[in-house]
Amino acid sequence: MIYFNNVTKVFSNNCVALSDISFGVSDGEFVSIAGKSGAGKSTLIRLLLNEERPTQGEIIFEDINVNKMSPSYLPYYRRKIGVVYQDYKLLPQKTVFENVAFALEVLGKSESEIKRVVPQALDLVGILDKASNFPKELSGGEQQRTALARAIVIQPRVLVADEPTGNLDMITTKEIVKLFLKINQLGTAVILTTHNREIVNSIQKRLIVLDKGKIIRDEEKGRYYL
Amino acid sequence: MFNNFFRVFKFGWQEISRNMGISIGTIFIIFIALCLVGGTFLLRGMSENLIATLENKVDVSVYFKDDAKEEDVLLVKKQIEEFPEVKEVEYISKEKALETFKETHKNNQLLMESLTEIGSNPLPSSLNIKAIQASSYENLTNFLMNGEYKNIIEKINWSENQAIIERLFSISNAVKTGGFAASLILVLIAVIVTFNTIRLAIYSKREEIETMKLIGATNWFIRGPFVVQGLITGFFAGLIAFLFFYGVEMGLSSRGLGIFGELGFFNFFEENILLFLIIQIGGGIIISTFASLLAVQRYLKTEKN
Repeated sequence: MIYFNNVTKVFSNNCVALSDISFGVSDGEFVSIAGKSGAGKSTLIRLLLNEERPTQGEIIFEDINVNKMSPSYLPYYRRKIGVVYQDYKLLPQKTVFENVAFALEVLGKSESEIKRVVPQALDLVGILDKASNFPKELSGGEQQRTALARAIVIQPRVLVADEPTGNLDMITTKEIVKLFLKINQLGTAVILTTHNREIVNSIQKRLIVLDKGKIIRDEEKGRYYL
Repeated sequence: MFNNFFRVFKFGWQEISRNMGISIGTIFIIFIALCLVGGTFLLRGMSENLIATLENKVDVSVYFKDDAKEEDVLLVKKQIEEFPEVKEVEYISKEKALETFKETHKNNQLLMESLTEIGSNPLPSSLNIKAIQASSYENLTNFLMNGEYKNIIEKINWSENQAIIERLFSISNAVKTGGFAASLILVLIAVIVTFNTIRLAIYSKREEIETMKLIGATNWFIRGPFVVQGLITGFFAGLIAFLFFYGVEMGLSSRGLGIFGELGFFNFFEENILLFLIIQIGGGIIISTFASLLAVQRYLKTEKN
């Protein structure tokens, strides 16, 4: 479904963020990408979302060459990918319900469908009782659950999570990881970046380890060690 | 399509109502800016009205000698009327002058008695000339004083009023040109202040705009609510500015303010009330919406290395 073919990213200050990266992600697969801070994990996600363009190589999503798409197609492309960030990126002036509904409103879904689907997504991540709260009234874990509900409500082909547990305590982290596994079981591919060894080792799925912008390991059911 | 249109309005209104503090602040700034624009517009219009009224009151009277024949005076009138810069020439015969004098001073017993005592009509016939420009009066005076009819002319009151008339016309010109320059500068200041206020308000939303882009919102879906906000805040600011001026005008005109009221200083507002309403509300909407569009556009650009 997703292919990174010999992708290199060099920033304008000659900092090499990624060097000759090649890997693929199949439909419904769960892939963890681990590495120290600065290893290039976030750059990889930014390239996939077309926030950055690779210096060399190409990224293919289904039959789309991500780097050659026209700017006007970009919003439609991003609707195929659900994204969760470390800092949640919720809209502060909208309630939990409205934040999740926004992703569907962007797609032009009807009000009746929104009223039906949003509570289901909120229920799945266990935050239905907070539907009318604003993000500032929620804990970090609750905010991340909201972000997760927003990402999955559009039924994306792939869920991308960039250090989603970076700001959470261990118990909440485990709960969130469980949710990712549950979503994956329902058929959505998941790409999870993290530097947390414990998380990676508890997942026991495919693992790609990055170091200084290069893939140093790509293993099925891999374990992360330094 | 209709869904999206409705949502853009809903989001725009939601942003205003959930950020009441910022919204009121923005409306207040646009209101101040519109007061500058509206104030300049009104002051210019009112001053021009006032000056036009005063200019209309300016004329030059040519008094003829007692033995001047009426046909000669009418010939002079005809010649003067041929000058392109002459707006109007009125002939006042000796009889008409007497009649007007009597009418004006009918309550002045002493004057009436003196008139009866004289027996004959002491008032001269005259021509009352109104010109388009002050400079024309001097030419006309020269023409009359040096022309073939100079012998029948007793006096021309131009020279007596020359200083005040020229001063009035120079003020009028200064108001017309200076007023225009001042309006331009003030309008520019108003636009810049509004732009910066809205730019700052949208700057604080840049991360939300980024998030919306990542979720897959199209540029119009992101831009729309900001445009709606601009539209609504601009409308309210315009309406408040209009009501403010309306209140001030009502308050001032009800007190009369002496000569200003008499000279039609306030007529300008009343005559142009609809135009003023359109300028205030339309100006508010245009400035605020355009500023929102421009400010949000900055964050919609896709910048990549």
